[in-house]
Amino acid sequence: MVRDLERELHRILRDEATRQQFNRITTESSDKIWDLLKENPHIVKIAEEVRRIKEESIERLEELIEKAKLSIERNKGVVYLAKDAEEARKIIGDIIGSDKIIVKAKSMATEEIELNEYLESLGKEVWETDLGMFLVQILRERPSHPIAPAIHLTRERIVEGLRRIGIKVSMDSSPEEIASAVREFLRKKIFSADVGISGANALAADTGSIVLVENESNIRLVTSVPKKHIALVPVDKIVPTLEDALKVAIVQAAYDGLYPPTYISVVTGPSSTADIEHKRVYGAQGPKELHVVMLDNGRIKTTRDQDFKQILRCIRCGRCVFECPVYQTIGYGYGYKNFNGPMGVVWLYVLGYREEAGYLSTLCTHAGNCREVCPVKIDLPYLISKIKRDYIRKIVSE
Amino acid sequence: MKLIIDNMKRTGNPVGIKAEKCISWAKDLSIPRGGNSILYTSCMYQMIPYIKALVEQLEKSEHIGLSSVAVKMGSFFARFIDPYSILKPSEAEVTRSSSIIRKIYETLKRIDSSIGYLYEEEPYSGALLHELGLEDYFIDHARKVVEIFKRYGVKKIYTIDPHTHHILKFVYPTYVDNFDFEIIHYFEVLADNLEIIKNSNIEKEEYVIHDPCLLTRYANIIDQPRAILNKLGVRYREHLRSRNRTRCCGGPIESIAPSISGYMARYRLEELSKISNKIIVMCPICYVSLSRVADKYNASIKDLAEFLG
Repeated sequence: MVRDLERELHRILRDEATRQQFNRITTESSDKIWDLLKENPHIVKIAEEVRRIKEESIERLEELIEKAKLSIERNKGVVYLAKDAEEARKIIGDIIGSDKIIVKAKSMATEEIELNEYLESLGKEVWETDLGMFLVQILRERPSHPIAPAIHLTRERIVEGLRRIGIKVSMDSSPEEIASAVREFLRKKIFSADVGISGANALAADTGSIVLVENESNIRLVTSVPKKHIALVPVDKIVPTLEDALKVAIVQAAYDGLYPPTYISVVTGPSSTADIEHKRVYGAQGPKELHVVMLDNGRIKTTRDQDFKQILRCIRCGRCVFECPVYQTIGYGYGYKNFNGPMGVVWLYVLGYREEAGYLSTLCTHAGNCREVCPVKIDLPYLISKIKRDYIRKIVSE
Repeated sequence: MKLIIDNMKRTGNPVGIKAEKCISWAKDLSIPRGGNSILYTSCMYQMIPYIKALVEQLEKSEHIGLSSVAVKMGSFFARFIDPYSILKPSEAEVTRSSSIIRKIYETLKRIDSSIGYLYEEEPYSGALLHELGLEDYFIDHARKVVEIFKRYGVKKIYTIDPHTHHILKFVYPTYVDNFDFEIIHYFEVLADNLEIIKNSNIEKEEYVIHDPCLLTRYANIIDQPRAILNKLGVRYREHLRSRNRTRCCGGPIESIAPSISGYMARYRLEELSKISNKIIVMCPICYVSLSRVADKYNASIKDLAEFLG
C-alpha cells in the first residue's frame, strides 16, 4: 500500500541515526567494491560473460526449463514448476507434510512468495539461519538489502531482539560474542530440523545442479543436515551449463563486495553412497530427498516484454542498491517488502506491485549510478522511467 | 504537477516565468535571431532564481513522492496560488544567471561567430515533463519544439546545461522522427578549441569538482570540463566519488520530495567539503540544490562558466 510507504518514509526522515547508518554503510561498501573490482579486472570480464549467458538464457528460457527438469530428475531430484506464489507455497507445504521444524537459508524467492508467513500459519516452526535474516526475522523487520538484510539495525535493537527469544547477550557484548551466541542457538535448530529450504544463485540446465554462494556456512548446513532439502528457484536463475552457473555465483559475490567467497556449494541430487556392494543408496550423510521448486510468477511472460525482460538478467548482487543515491539517503525507505533500491523497484513492477513500484519510481533521480555499476548492465533508470510514466498517466487521469 | 502543466500551457516553461525574463541576458549583445547554429538556453539558468525561491516554499511542505492524494491536493491549491505572487527571486541571483549565459555566449562566439539565438521564440525543452513522467505532455511539447527549430533552419544546437543536453541528445531522437540536429554541449566545443579560452580573475584557492550525473554517466562528458579548468588555471581536487562515480545532488526530486532531496544535497556536500568547501558545479540544478545546504558547510558554489572571461 502506498499509504504504508509514505508512513514509513516519514518515519525514516525523522530517524537521523538510521539515515546516517545507511549513508555510512552504503558509501563504505561502494568504495570497497570499486577498489575490489579495480584490483580484480578479470571479474569484470566474467561479468561481461555472465551478461551474455543471461541474455541467451532469457531467449531460451522455456527450452532451458525443460532441460533442467530432465537433468534434475536424472539425478534423482524431484522437480516442480509453480506458476505463481500461491502454487509454490502449496507445493512446498505438501513436500513438508507433517514435518515440524524448518530451517532456511537466505532467499529472496521465499520472501517473494511469503513462505515464512504461510508455514507459520500451518503451525510450523521456521528459522532463518543467515545471521542478518535471523535478526530481521526475530525483530519482525523488513530486509534492507538482498545480501546484507540487517544493515539498518543498530546493536541495541539486535541485543534487545536476541534477549527476547532467550539468547544470552548484553549491550556490552561484542559482535563476536553475539555471533557466537546465535551460532549455538541456531545449531540446535539446524540439527533438530526436518527440512532445509534454500534458494539458489543459479541452476544449471545441463546437470540440474543448484549453485549457492555464501560466507556464513549456514547454507551448507541447511542444505546438508536435514533429511529433506527444498530449493525454491525462480526460473530466471536457469543458465545453460554448470560452468555458467559458477560464473554467476562468482560475479554475484564479487559485486556484493565478498570476494573471494568463503563457500560455493554445488548441489546435484540427494546425497548417496554406493559403498555397500556397489549398490547406489540415497540418503548418506546429507539429505535423502531433494526437491527443486521452479518459480515462474510472471517471469516467462516477461521474457516477451522487449523492455522489461532485461530485469531477468539480474543476479541479485544488490550493487545497484548500495550505489543508488536515494537508497544511500533513505535506505530501505526506498523499497517495499523485501525489494529495495533500483532493482527492487523494477522487480516489484514485474511481480505485479504496480502501484508501489510506481510510487517509488517518482523518487528516482535518474542519476544513473545503478546502470553504471550493474554487472549485467540492466538499464535500470530507463525501466524506472517507464514505470513512472505509466503510474503518472494513471494518477493524472484519476 | 498540475501547476507545472498549467505553467507550461501559459508560459511554455515549468516555473511560469515570462519570456522577457528568459531573454534579458541577451540585451545589447546584438545576437542574430536564429540561424544555422544557435545557443540554446532552454531558459534553464534564467529559471534558477525562481526555482531557488520556489524550493524555499516547497521545503515548508511535508509531502514525499507522488501519490494520487498528493496530486489532488496539489491541483486544489494550484487554483488559489499564483506562483508570481509568492516567488521573489533575489536580484543577485538574476544578475548571476545572466552573466553566466553571457560568458558562455561570448566564448562560443569566438569559435562560431554566426551563432544565433531564438529570443522570445526559444522554447523550453520540456526536460522536466519527461523527468516527472508526464510523457504524453512531453511528446506533444517536443514536437512543437522541433517545429520551431525547423522553422528557423537550425542545424546545430549548442546546449549549456546537462538537462537540456540530455533531453535533446538522448530522449528527443526516440520520440521525434528524423531528428537531424547536431547537439553539442559547450564543453565539447570549448575543449576542442582551448586556445580561445580566456579567464576572469581566478582565485588561487583549491576547488573540488562536483560532476553532473547527466553529463558524466549519460553523455560521457568528463574530461572536457577538466581540460577547460586546466586551461583556465583553476586549481581543483577530485573526490573519490566524482567522474562516472559522481553522486546526485538531490536536485531532480526537489519538487517531488523536498525533504529527501535536501538530505541528498547535505550528504553530498558533506563529503565534498571534506576535500574543499569551494565547489565547482556544471549544472544549474546542482547549483540550486547544493546551495540549499551551503551555509551548513560554510561552502561556496560556483558554476564552471563563472570562471570564463
